[in-house]
Amino acid sequence: MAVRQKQIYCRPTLCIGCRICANACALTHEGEANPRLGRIGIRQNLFERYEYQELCRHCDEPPCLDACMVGCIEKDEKTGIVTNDDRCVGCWMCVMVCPYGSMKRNLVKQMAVKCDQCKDLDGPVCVEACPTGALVYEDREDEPEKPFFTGPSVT
Amino acid sequence: MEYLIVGNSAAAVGAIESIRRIDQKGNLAVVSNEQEHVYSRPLIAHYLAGDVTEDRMPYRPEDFYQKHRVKTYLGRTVTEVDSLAEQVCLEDGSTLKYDRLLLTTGSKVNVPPIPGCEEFEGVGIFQTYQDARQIMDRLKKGNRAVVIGAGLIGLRAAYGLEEAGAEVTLVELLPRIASRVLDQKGSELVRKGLEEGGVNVITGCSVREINGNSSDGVTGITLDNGEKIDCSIVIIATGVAPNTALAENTLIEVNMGIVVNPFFQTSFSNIFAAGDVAETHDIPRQSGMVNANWPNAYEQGRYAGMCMAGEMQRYPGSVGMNSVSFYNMPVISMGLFDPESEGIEGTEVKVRISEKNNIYQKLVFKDNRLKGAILIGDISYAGAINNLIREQSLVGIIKDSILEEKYQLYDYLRKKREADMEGTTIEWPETHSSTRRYEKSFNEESWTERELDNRAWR
Repeated sequence: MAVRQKQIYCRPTLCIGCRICANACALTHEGEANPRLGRIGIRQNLFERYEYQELCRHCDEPPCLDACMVGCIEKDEKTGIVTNDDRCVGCWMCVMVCPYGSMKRNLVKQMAVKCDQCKDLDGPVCVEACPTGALVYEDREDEPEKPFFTGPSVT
Repeated sequence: MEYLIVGNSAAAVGAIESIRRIDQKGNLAVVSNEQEHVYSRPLIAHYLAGDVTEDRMPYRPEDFYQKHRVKTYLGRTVTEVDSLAEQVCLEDGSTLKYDRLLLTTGSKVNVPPIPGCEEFEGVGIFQTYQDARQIMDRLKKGNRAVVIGAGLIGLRAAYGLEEAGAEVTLVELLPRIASRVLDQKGSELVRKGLEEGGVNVITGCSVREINGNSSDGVTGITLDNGEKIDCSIVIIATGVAPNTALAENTLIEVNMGIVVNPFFQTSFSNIFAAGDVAETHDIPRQSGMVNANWPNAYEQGRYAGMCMAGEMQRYPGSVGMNSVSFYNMPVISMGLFDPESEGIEGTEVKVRISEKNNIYQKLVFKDNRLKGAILIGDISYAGAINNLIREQSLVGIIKDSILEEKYQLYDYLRKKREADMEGTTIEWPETHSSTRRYEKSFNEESWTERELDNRAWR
């Protein structure tokens, strides 16, 4: 039975690609303002000129959990948040199976890192930091997955 | 309901967790011939290398069995499956009844008939925690080691021993290393990486004899060209095969592994098999195949558990895939990556090579579908490529641009899912060429590569 949970959604029309979310994320989790280390990745579609986010969906049946050979990826039964811990040995099995590209590699520590929705804080810092309000953290009742894929309106 | 699981690794854990999610009442028991709490077998190389300490070896927390109310028979060997009486026999003569049986017996190592491979102390295989501990003990006596066989297990063992401070020689019979998981070019790159890391690699050479004496154990090996190598440890890693011993001499159908249907049932509807021992549907090849690796084993165990508990869910099939990392060089291979050696025609291959950065990427297409891939050095799109292989979706336009970083694969997948959800399809033009150069600085991964290269980062 799938857990209803609050998710970080993005509204691509509002995103300006400033990477402040990634910076805030890296600063919170790694102590370093470096967008490469952020758990939220921003890529750009150059054909249609807009930015979009690679972000963990906290799947109901996470492929990364299946793949982790260390057993360090867990899905919390109550909150539904998928987390990993520092037992990671950097085999990149999770990177290999995540279809959303949201398992990030910290190449300095040789560890996989992923979004934990800032479960120890009041709310996700990326949402808090977003200057345009493109990122929102809410519990949407219907169409749980669709908002991730909403493209921009043609301007 | 009596559930019985033979084996105690990835597939067994997957099955336990999914059975307990559905059925809270039934009795669940696990039989394993190892004493250990469930641990991760691929990790033993990291254990040897010292990356992982003993307290980090368990795959699930200490209270895993209590929490899932599993009765454990650890250190007990199953000798026979009696499918008519619905029971299994243990080596001490006792029997265990079952209503649903799951066989997750994994693989066994094929030990070749090399003279001396069974008499001396210090010669062993590299499969279980116990093997790794014995090697750790043996390392105190001398630090020269020989690994026979350069498959993935051999490579992992060599890496672990080298990191543990041993002087390692890798001997392979075939002309190239890792021939089952990489193609020619890929194995050259991995060989280069290993040699730079300090592993001595000998290919195209078999071992004539293992030398030793009763007091010191093994002292060296003799190659078939007469060369002698001194060593105090020999690891035999000449390949694995599904451990189908329990299914032999029964009515369970065995081909390469135990043949199962998409619901993981064997020839008997109440006997299931999953993991490295099961022969499942292989998506890129569209045929039955044993895909032995950790992610598939856990996933298959999870599906098998659901089917055992009565929630029949069809398994879509598996993709052979492997991911290892040697000396900071990530290596991933998926699906059908070497069509020439398998004799499959009508394939199209796209390759991107950067010798300087140790990057080698190869995609194999057939009938406008992605069938396999090798990614070495740069694995930033691995997840999306894996998804393309798994779904076997038509690739069309992105065929030319996946490796060139012009097109964002994830964005394509995003659009495809959007179309799937709306019930429409994306129609791509057959050919497409973009004159616009992709601006690399927008790609987060390439920033990292650039920084590792010690170039200025702006």
